[in-house]
Amino acid sequence: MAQSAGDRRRINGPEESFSPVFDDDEEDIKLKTQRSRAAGDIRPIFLQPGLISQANGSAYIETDKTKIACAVYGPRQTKTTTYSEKGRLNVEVKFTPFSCMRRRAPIRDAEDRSLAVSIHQAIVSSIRLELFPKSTIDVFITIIENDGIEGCIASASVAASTALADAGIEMLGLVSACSAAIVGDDIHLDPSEAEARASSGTVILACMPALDNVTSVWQSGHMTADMALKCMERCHERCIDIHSIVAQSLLEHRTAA
Amino acid sequence: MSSISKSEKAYIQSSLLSDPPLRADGRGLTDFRTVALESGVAPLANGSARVSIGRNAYDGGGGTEVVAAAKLEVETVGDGEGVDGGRVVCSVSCSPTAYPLLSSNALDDLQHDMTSLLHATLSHPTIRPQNLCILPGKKSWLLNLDVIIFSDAGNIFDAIFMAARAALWDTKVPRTRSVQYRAKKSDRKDATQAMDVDEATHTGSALDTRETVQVSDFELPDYWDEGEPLDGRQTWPVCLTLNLLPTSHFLDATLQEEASVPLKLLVLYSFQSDTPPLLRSMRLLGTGVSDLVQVKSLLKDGEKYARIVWTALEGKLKDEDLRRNQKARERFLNR
Amino acid sequence: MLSFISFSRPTDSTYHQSTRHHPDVEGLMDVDDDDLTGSEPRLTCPGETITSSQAFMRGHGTYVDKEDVIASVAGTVERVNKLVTVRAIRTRYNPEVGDLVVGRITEVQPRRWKVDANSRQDAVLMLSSVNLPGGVQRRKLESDELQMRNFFEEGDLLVAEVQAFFSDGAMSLHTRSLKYGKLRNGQLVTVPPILVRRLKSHFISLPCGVDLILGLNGYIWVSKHMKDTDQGEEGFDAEAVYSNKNEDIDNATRAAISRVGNIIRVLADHFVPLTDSLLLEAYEWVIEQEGDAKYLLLGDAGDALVAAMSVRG
Repeated sequence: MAQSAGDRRRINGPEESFSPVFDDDEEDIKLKTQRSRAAGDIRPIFLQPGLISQANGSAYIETDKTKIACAVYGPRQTKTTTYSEKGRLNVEVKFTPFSCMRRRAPIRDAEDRSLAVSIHQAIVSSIRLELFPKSTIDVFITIIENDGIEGCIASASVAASTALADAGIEMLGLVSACSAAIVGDDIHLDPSEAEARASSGTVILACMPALDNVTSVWQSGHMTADMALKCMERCHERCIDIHSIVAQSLLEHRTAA
Repeated sequence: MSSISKSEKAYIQSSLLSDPPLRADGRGLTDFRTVALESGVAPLANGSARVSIGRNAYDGGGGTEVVAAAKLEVETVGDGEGVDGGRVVCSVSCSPTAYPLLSSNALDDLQHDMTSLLHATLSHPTIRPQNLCILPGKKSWLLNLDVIIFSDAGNIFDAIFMAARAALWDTKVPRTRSVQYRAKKSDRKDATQAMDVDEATHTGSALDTRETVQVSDFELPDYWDEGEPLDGRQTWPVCLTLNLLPTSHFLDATLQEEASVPLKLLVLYSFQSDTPPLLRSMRLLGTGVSDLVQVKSLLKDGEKYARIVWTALEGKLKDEDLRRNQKARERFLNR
Repeated sequence: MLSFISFSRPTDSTYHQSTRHHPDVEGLMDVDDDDLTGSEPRLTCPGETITSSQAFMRGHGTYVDKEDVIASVAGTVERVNKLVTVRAIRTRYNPEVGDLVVGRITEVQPRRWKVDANSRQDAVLMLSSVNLPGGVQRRKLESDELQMRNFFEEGDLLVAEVQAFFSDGAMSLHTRSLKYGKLRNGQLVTVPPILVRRLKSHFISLPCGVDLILGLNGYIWVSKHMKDTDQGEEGFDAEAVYSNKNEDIDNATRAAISRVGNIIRVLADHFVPLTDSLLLEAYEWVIEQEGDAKYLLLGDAGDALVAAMSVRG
């Protein structure tokens, strides 16, 4: 490489060179978590009751990328012989294989059950199960597209409650649910998957706004108690808004039918 | 005894709500039964502990009995589920002796629910210990924390997390040394003491990259002890189950008491001297309802109780460390 | 609020070199000397030859192989004349006709209830063996069959008497007495059935306003004292008998119920057979110590109670 003038028979490259600059991962996450909406806003909700005609009641919910269908069968006779004074609520959650970034094999996996448990907790205390001895209410939830587990749980709880109302099952009130994530020092409501991954803690709150009570609180990650309370209060405010959407969609569906 | 009659339920509820409140065994609302704890019960594990709540003093029967053990495995980063910096995987299994009345399906569901709470809390990235890394970007430790429930006499979640915290406190990570092989310089083994050797600088400094075969591995140096404790072992949380009545709450419920309250709130706290107390997890379980005002006051009370549990547990764990070090020394002298 | 203790362990090195009895058996040897005349109760294990089969008859807990009577359970050898039996230390309840038991309904079936009575099979309570509302001697009607859950439902506790056995060995219960029926106003304590011996009466009233029902199956009901209903057969009130509602119970009675419950638990943990006089003395002893209800659960109080009782006994 001692030749100073360079080889004139060839086309010479530039004197100086720089290695290419790639977007590094950190920036990538920052880009993704950049919200197009304010921290206190949630994704727009599309809610349609009565989409699955063979079910007793059903609902379809779409919040931006998250798409969930829910069907309710029952109350119908419990198959087991053991007597139960109260009705049973059975929630089953299924991810479609194409619902996530990675393909999900169409077998029952661990996450299905934990989602089902948290949705069950959100809606079980709203149903008047004491009126349905010996019977079971089945709630089947299909997650068609998933953008953040927290959002999925919240939206699926709303859809399940709507479907139960659509099925004419006696309830104390409609359940609405909202999630929040702490990103840095801010509270972002209804976080997407990327936001949830970048956050230090998340809260999912389910409540019956008409009765002003709370049916479920799921918090994970770490935060101070004050911060958790602040998240819950913010979620509660949004739940009231979501409640009016649910009520409106149910009324519209009834008048259309 | 999973089912209780309506009159028993009513008796327990009215006793708890009477003034002063009274429980079936005469405890106050915030009194725990006796808690027995021992660490290092599984010699083949890297850390282990056994917790029993409410055993009777005479023959040790009739309590909630839980054993937790942590085992470390080497994992290659990028292979399968291996993550740079190590990871923690938790599981809870219920021995059928603990729930003889449950069908195997119900037992599976139950242990799955317990696993999901334990795993979600303890393997959250914000609580991962720093020293699970062996070679950055290449090898790391996989920490398996397994909890076995031998019997359940109520308050199982508190017992699980006490055992888990004690086992993780007890866990020793083996010391490792990075090893490099250099083909050029007569295959000399270059052992560097520090764990975080920066392999990239060596690559850069080698004059001819084509002739140096760079294979990195690690070895386990022979040491007198089993290794160093997990980083940040103070941060593992304690769990507190608040059983909710309309106007009050109580702790450490027996099975009968659990069957007669509709709702309970689990709070998991960790306390450190330099930061305010952190909420690690919170779950509302049961068929009842609560409201924001109640949750707020419960969080405050829960923090207070959790701090007492935390302090007592920390004291006990330090005693256990002392006792076992002493035993190890005696064995060393008597050998 | 809470304290941590260690698991107790033997510390002296000679522990493993000496012969000991299991604590349960030691407890049994200290107090159980009423049945076998004179000598110490003899303990035996399954497979151990007890005696020759020509001189003795084999009873429960033994079998005959060739010329020998051999034990089939671990427990104490008991002999009545020529009959040799072995009584197991921990076992399920072995029912006999006329026994008083406390049970829990597990299932409602056509014209009958299944009752868990800590026995080998679920006990059966026929609809025809309970007192029906509107006259004790009334025959059962189809309408009664349709509302069986109004009488007893799953989880309910009841006190009953063993009436007969079915051919498959299951026991049949009856509650056709004003003393029997649904249990309210108290809590259940379970002990090993061997600790409850047959007494003149299994209904015990303690002076502290607490009633005890010692079921021979090891289920013990501790409740508020009920006034004796001596109105006779006419006084049968179906509403009250099959009610699920507790009466008003004052705090002193609640505390007394807890205290009696704890006494029974402590005595059972130390494997002390329960009798009415023992329970009464134990209660007085606890009152003398001026402890509250949880006092017995702390530290050595339980051991002290048992020591005090064995001195008096």
